Amino acid sequence: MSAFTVDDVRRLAALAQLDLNPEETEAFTRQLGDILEFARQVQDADATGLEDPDQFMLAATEPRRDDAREPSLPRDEVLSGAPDGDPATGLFKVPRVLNG
Amino acid sequence: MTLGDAAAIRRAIAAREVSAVDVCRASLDRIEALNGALNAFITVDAERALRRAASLDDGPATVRDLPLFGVPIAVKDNICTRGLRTTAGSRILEHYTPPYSATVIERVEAAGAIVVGKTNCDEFAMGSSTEHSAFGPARNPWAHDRTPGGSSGGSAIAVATGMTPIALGSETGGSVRQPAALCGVLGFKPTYGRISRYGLIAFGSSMDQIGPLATNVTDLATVLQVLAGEDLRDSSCARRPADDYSAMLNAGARGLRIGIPSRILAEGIEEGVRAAFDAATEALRDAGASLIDIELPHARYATPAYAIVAMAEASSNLGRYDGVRYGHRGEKTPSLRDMYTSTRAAFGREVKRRVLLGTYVLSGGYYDAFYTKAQQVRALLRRDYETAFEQVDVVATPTSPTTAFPLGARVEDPLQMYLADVLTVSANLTGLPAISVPCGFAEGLPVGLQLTGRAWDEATLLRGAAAITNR
Repeated sequence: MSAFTVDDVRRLAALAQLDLNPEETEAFTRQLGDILEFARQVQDADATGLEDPDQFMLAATEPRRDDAREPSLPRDEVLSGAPDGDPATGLFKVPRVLNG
Repeated sequence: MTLGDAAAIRRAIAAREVSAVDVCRASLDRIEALNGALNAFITVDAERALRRAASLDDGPATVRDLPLFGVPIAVKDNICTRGLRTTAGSRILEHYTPPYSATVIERVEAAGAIVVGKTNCDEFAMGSSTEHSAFGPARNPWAHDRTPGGSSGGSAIAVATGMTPIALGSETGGSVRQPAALCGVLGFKPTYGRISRYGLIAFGSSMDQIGPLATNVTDLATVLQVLAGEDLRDSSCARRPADDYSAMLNAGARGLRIGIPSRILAEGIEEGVRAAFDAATEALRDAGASLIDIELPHARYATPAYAIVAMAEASSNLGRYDGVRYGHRGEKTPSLRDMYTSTRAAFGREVKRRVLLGTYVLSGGYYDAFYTKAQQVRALLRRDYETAFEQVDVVATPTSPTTAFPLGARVEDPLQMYLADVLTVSANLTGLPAISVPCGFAEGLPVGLQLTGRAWDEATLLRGAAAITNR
């Protein structure tokens, strides 16, 4: 597989909603390439004979609680942590998404 | 006054030799005296702590029986505390005050403990040195030019310096055990599912666990007893009653079968660390334990698999920092997308690296080659341990391949930083419990010995840890 490029980093940054400055883009191109080379070692592990790749998790066979409604946090308190919350309407406000 | 261990504090208060307020003041004074040099705490709320101490002193006599009555505790700053700022070491949450407390906070407070403050950590617990904190690096109390390890570095410093006798940290790849080892205290990662994570700020959800730090095994067992057990608010928390964690503390080493993966330890371990480890395991053998050479054939894939899983889950979990519901929002921007990117510009470098890598390994065309394969490595590793546990009770290694490393040595070399966790990540990948116990010094710096045990068998690890500290 080819080495990591500046364009790869820019494409990933766009997917992850991150804006990188030129210095970060340059450093990350090199570092992410090195880390992926390192991570690629997992491909040498022989997984034949594993029936279920999800079996790494400890078995969660215990029953869960009833799906019953329970009290939750007061709305005003939750909204109080929002950068632009509106307790009167109970809404979080964001920039306009649709035009018109 | 000097703070003793948690058990001594509780006894002294119960006997009315001191008050909870006296103890709390002593803890706050010690923090005040040392924190400038060590940067262990991001937030200290003296008023809140003293108020609570006074209410304990004024409370009914019955509360004096509580297992942590009047004991000051330090809490890693990625664990939510109602009304007390919780930053996760990030600018994004610099002004975040949670409207609720984590289950572990409710439990330690119900047991009589007093939260004195929130400890420094790598941003969102991503790091092994507490240098990736937006609030500045923490320093190792044994050598101020070295890191305390991480990511729960502040909690390890607090306990190592007697600011508080006990602390809470969290682990995704060794973030309790490694700083405990580098600061010379005990650190415990219980079995995945043993302790509720409700209110722990998520990083790698298939591996994250909260764990206690202490100076001795008795205190560690007491805190685990308080924390363990089901919580209906965390679906990953097992509906399994806690065991009696103090029951086997005096059982000694006799008959304990200790597996040593000698092939893994043949290279990459600092000489002084190896010597301290060998001396400790030989002492256990002299005390009646048997040392058995074991193989963990897939351990060499653990760190690469960990990097993949941790980054994949980080990129997913950190999607929530969008500037909408809580935390920081970027400058006023005309579009929603600009709001997202200007908000997320507040992430530090290590967080950005991990989000980018996680996005990559989860994207179409790479998912199977990285993520699926890493999950298979977890299954193979788990099988390795199951095979080993057919002939041994615990597996012993050093906790960290090195002693505390110098500040700045690895901070811009992410791969070297990840290798600090080479001996700890297997327990997180498999969900198994593991403990780090001080076992000696190398050139004046503490060395930790790690024991990994069977799932849910924390009691045997505490027994082994007691045998090491009593040797």
